[in-house]
Parts: sequence; C-alpha cells; structure tokens
Amino acid sequence: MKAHALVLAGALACGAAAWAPPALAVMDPAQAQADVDAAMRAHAYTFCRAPHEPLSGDALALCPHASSIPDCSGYAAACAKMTTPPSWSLPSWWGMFALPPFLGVLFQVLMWLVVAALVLAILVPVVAAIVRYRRRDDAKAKKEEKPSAAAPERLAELVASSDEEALLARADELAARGEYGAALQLYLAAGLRALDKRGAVRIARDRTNGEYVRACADAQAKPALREIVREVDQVQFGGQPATREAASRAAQRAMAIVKAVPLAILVVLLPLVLGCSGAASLKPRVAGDDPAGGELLRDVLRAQGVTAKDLDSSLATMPLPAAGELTPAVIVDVEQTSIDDDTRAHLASWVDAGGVLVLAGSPTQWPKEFGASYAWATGPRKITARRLLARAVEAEPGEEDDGDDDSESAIYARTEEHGVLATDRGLKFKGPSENIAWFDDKTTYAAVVAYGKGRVLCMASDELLTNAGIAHPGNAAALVAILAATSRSDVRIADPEDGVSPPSTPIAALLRAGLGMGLLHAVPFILVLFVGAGTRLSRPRPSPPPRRRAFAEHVAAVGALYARTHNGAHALAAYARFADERLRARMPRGSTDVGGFLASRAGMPLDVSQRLWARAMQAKAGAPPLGDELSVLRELSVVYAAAMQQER
Amino acid sequence: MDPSQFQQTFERIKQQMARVIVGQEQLVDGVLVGALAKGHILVEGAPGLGKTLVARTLAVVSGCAFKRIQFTPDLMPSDITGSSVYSRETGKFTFVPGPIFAQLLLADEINRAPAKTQSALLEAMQDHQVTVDGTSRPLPAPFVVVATQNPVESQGTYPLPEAQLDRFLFKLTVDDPPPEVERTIVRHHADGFDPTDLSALQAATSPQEIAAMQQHAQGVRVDDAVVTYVVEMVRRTRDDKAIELGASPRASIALVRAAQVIAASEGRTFVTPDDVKPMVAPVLRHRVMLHPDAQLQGITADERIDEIVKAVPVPRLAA
Repeated sequence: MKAHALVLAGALACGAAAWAPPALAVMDPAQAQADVDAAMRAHAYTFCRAPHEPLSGDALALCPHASSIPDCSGYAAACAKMTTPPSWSLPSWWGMFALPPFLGVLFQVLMWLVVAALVLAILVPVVAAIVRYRRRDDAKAKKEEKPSAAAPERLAELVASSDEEALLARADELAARGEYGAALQLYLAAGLRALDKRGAVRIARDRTNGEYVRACADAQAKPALREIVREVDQVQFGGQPATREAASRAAQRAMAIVKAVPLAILVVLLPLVLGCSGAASLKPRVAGDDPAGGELLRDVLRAQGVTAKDLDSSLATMPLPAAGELTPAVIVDVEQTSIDDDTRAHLASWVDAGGVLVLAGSPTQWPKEFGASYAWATGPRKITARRLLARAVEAEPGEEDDGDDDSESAIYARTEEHGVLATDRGLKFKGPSENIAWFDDKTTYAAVVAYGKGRVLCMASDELLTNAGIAHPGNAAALVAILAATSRSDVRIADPEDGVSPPSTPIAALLRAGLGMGLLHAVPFILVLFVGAGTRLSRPRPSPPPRRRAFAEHVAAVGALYARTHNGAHALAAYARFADERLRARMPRGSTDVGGFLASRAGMPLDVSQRLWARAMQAKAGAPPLGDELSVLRELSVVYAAAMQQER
Repeated sequence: MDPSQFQQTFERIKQQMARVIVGQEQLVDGVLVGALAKGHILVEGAPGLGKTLVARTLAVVSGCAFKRIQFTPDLMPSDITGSSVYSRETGKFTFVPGPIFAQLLLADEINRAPAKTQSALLEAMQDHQVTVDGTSRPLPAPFVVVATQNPVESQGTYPLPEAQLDRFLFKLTVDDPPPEVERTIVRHHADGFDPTDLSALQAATSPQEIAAMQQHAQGVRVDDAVVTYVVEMVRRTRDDKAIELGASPRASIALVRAAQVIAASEGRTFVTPDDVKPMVAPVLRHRVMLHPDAQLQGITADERIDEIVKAVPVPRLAA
C-alpha cells in the first residue's frame, strides 16, 4: 500500500502518469448544509411546514427524519397523524360483525354505479336541453320558411320541443284528465321519437303512420307501434271516440317502446366507467410540498456548481457516448422512475460505452449486468461517506498510453461525511466495487462499479435524493460526498416518465398510460355506437329514378362535337334556327323583325342586334367557316337568354 | 256488404288474377282498385308487357261482360258506339250496339286512333251512357274501361287530349319485369300456359258483387283532415313552377275514391293518409302537364309529384 502511494505520488510529481481532470473539485460537502438552508429560505419549500396531505408512501417512509429536521413540525405532525393508531379501539366482539371481503368489491361497484348515475343525471338533462333547443330552432325555421302552413297547434309544439319521456309524461297527464284523443297522439309521438333516436324509424313530416310501421327496423317494437297506430287512426280518421281503454293500451305499448333502452350500451358503458378509475386528490400539489420530492437535490447540486437539469429524453434513447466524450452523469431514482427491460438493456450499453450513471433505489430494478443486490445493515442507520478527489490513470510500465488497459487509482479526501438514514438497506455486489458510503457495520450503502468504459454509482436507497432526506442535518454533505464519485460537473436527472422506451405505436402508448382497460372497453362501445348510428345511416333509401340527360348537357356535348369537327357554321345555323323558332313564337302577332324584337327585349342597340341576327341567319351547315361563328353564337346565346328572361 | 266481406272478395280476385299474371302486382292492384272505384284505367307501357292480359283476366275473374276494341287510325266513332242501321224488312232504323256496350271494355292501343275516335268514349266514360242519333242509351253496370297505350314517343300514335285523359281515374305505367320475374313468365309459357285461353280461370265474383263493392267503397269514411291533405296535394300541382297545367278538382275526387277502395280492401271503414299516398302518382301523373322547359331538363311528372307529396305534411295531431 505504501509502495503504491509512493508510486502514485511519484507519478503525480513527474507527470509520468495521465490524470483524469479533477472535475468535481467544486463539490464541497462542507458547504452542502449551508446550501440546503439557503435553498429552503430562498424557495420557501413547504414540505416541512405544511406538507401535502395525505402523505404519500414515500413521504411516510421518510418520517424518521421529520423530528431531526429543524422547523419541521408540520411534517412531524403529519407523520404522527398518519402513524398514530386511533385513540379508540373496537371491542373484541366487533370481529363477529366483520364484513366478508367480497363486500368491499361489491360496495366499490355500487359506488361507481352511483357515480355513473350522477354523471348521467347531469348529462342527460343537458343533452336533452340542447336537443330540445335545436329542435325548437328547426321548428322555428320551418315556420318562417313556410308562412302559409297552418298555425302550429299546441300539441304539435309540444311534440316538436319534447323528448319521449316528456311526451309520455304529458300523455299520461292528458289521459288522467280524460283527454284521451290528445293522449293517444302523444303516446304515438313518444314511441316514434324513441324509435327515431334508436334509428329504427326516421321521422319526417311527409311520412304516414303506416309508413312508420312498415319502415320500423326494430322488430320487437314493430307490433307495439302497429297497435298504437291502429288506435290513433281509429280515433283520428275513423271518427271513433277516444276511450280510456284505448289510451291505456296505447300507453302500455308506448311505454314498452320508450323504455326499451339498449342494454348493450349500458353493459358497455358501465365497465368503461368502472375501468377508467383513478384516484385524484382534490388538493393541488405545490412544488416543494412533498417530503419525498426532489427539489432540494437540484438546488444543492446547483449551489455546488453542478449543472443539474432534467433529462428531457427517454433513458432508452440516450445516445451512446463517443470515445473520449465526457457525457453528463445521469441520476436515476428507480423508486420514482420505473424502467423497463429495453431501458435496462440500453442503460447497460450506455455505461459500457463510457457513460456515468447514478442508480438509486431497489437494485432489483437495475440492470443485472451491474451485479448488485440488497444487503441489510445490522447496526444503527448511520452512514459514512468519503469524497472522491481524483482518479489517477497509471500507464503500464514500458507501454504507451493508449487509454484502454490502464489501471486507475482513486484519491479520496481525508475527511469523511456522516449521514443518518431511515432505512437499513445496503448493497452487495458480485464483482468488484468501490465503496463510497457504508453503514457502521461496513455494509455498503453506496459504491462505484466499473462497467466497460463507464461507471455506475449505486445507492441502496433514494432517500438521500429526497427533500426530507437531504434536509436532515449532515445528509446533504454525505450526498455531495457520494455524488462526487461521478467525477462530473454536469448532471441530468431522470423524470418518472423517462424510464420507458418510446412506444412504437399509439396503442402501445395508451397501454403504457394505463388506459388499456379503458381502450378495451372503448372498442366495443365504439362498435355498438357505430352500429347504432351506422344502421340508421346505412338504411337503404329510395334512390331517385335515373334522370334523362339534361338539356344543357346535351347542348354542351353537341357543341363539343362541333368544335372537334371544326363545324362552327353548322352549330351557329342550328342555334339560329332554334332561336328563330322560339323568338317568333313570342313576338307580337304580325311582327317579323326578329332583330328589332331582340333589341327591344335585350336592351341593346338596334343596329347591333340586327347585324348580329343577320349574321346568324347567314350561317349554313357545310358553308366554309368565316372564323367568327363561335363568337357570334356566344353573343347570340347571351342576347337570346336576356330576351327570353325579359319575356318571363 | 260488410268490410270483411269486401276484403275477402278483394283478396279472392287478386289470388285468381295472380294465377295468370306474374310479376305485375302493382298493375293488378291498380286495375282492381280503379274498377272498384268506378273509374277507368289507362295503362301505358311497351308492347308485350301483359297489359291486355290483365284486362282480360279481370273480366274473366269478375264475371263481367268483356269487349275489346283494337284502336286503329281508321277506326270510326260509330265503330265503338254502334249505329242505326236501316232495316228493309221493317222499314225502320234499328240501333246496332257497338262494342262499348260491355261491362269491361278493353280499349287496346287507344292512342293509335285519332282524337275524334278517342272522344267517342268521353260520354260513356263520364256518364255511363252513349248518345247515338239523339238517343241516349245507358251502359250496363258496372262499366269499366281499361285502355292501353304505347308510349307517346312511339310511331303512329296520337296523344290523348287532356279532357280524355282526365276521364281516366288512373294512369298506370308498366315497366320491364326484373330478370327473375321474366324467367318465371317464360317458364310459365314453356309449361303450356296459353294467354288466349283463360278457361281454366274461375270467376271469383259477379258483376252484381262488383257493383256492391263499388257501393261499399263509396261509403268508407273520409275525415276532413284527409280531404284537406288530398286537396293540398292537388292544389300544389297548380302552383308548381315545373307544371304548366295542374290537376283539376276531379283529381281530388278520384284520389279520395281510390283511397276509399284501398281502405276497404284492408277491411277498414275509414281512410287514412296511408291509403292516399300510394294513389297519388297514378291519379295525378296523367293530369299534370309539365312546362316545356322542365321537359327539356328531363324532369318527369312522377318526379314532380313525388316532390309535392314530400312537401305536404301528413295530417297529424288533430286532437
């Protein structure tokens, strides 16, 4: 050992060995506590005074620090509230009345049913009101566009502005008052409205009751609708009196139609509502109110002169370091950032290529290549950390420095830092590791593992990265001493969402977001919705009979033929004869001056009109073209149209 | 006659006719409804679609006296109505009735005769009597004219004048049958069916019963709302811009009468708008004259009528 130190000292003195740059010379554990106090004052973090309640599981695990942190009575009180058993206790015989476990699930389902009912109770009136409002607008528009129609009757207005439930209720009222005729009408209207909503019929003002029955796509509702129509027709057109029995029969059938809500939709909707459960606290979170948060870590690192930023990318897509590249160290708290297999593999490759990684939390979540596993400390939960000052890279004797096979030596500060933890979890490694922090029983708490060209700084827990853990007196210094082992002044901190590789498909993204169950429920729901709406839209409608070719199309086609054959003279002659025949039919009896008639009707100068007409009449089929045929034809057609328009 | 008896007889006639007529249900229904509504029926369609066969079958099934007149360009009115012939034995003119003196008259290819000859039917169709040499002679009851005509675009045809057209309750159009129906028709003939020999058919009713059915149909109740509905549709044909000449009040009457038969055929004693609607096109299509510009644009009477039907709201909520 002594010889090795001498060799190292000699190398330092004569420069025979290459030195890694003392990148973390700025990190000073002695200043760490002062930095923490300054950050607490500057940002007024509330995790001590008024932590976010109820405390999360992580924050609860950090409760042993609460009493040791100055001015942290709020956190301590919250911990006490959470950990103290209730002052009262149930008598021993109470166990007789303990509920079976399945009742919990049952009550949960009932709870969600109540929630769903509440949502529906809110939504249904809103949607109904919107629909009613729109229908009222439609009815108003129809009324405005056809003022000659008969004045809308009271019932018609009611039918136009109410949904089926309201119509049923109104019909019941009328029946109770003895107005059976009106009640029958409303029962029919309610049935039709319900069927229209389901897409089984399409309500239109030109449709007869018989057409509704024949077109009803709901086979189960068809007989009931037929019965109602029969009752209504007998009263309305058959002159028979409306009786209570008839109204009662119609009411039963209308009720059967209206209340037949598609159960399939409910069946699909319910699990959708139940499947998309999620707990959300009503109290909004504020930065720095969580004892298990990470705000202090960033503040302390920055105060230490380290560039600490969020990773802002996925751990699985970090570019591999190039040879000799000094990439930032990446801190990953696997308790907060879950990493998947792809990410684990990429992290191993990244470190192998020269990256420096800080892993905190459960080693079972780390890449297995690093060979770490849990070990448990037996003594007090105090750790001692040593600060790395520099690493010396010694060249092998007699060889040039190629940077590959050189051995390294670490130089640590003489002073050691001491921290207190809430956990007794330590680490052990399959391969060689370099202890950075350890419990009093020498169980490793933090260590550096060399892997390929890079290093991994492993920490058995993440509490030194949390607000409460850092705020505990002495822990900040221990943390700074541990992180000095990264030999980096640039650090990236992974966010919780950085641990998973980017989804390859949108569906994979939804599944990862925990919406898989919701998606599964949404698919049949959409299918049902699609079928429900699609059935209505896809119902065959009578297609209009094929029309004959429009006259305008015929003229255009013939004109195109003339143009292709360069026979404008024929076109002009034909059009002139057509116009001549039509115009003479409208000219005053005895008049023969077509040009003058055109001029008077089209409002154009007489000489121009006569010249145009004379030219048109000169045109003969087969005559050699003069070149002006199409322009004359176009001009004549405009004048002719103007004259005929005037005639009308 | 009670409603159920009417319904049963109606169905019986249809069943008998269906033994001969394949795939022309609408034509059969139309002719039958027209006859029971005391109307005359004009059937238009290309040759060979079974128009004549329908009329002959109806005559056999109904037991009515049947006569057929083949209209030709040289046909004279007296060839239809009959004429007074001088008898040398008695020294007097004796009236020899023409073929019009029948209960079911088939006027085949009516538009091949000129307007003068066509008009010989006017009095008979309207007043059910014929006046020859100043003497009016009643026609037997029931009296139904089933006229067939080829489309007016065919060569050698004379369009029927409006007054003549208005006398027809219905104008039914016959289209080419779909392939499967045509196969059935051919198979029917290949199996020995002879359209000239309808002796296998049985009379499903009698002229007296037909007359009774006509009387019954006229007694079917028509509510004011239905009358308003009918009148509104007919009036709209007069306001339609694409229609130069709309339908007359006779069309409204015809529409109601046809609807009454439809209602009676379903065993009802009252007419609903559902009975009216399918009768609108057959009643109106020959009574409206399209504007020439609309014709040039390819608009048809049926299309305009369809639009009108869609535009008129069905009577509802009249409580």
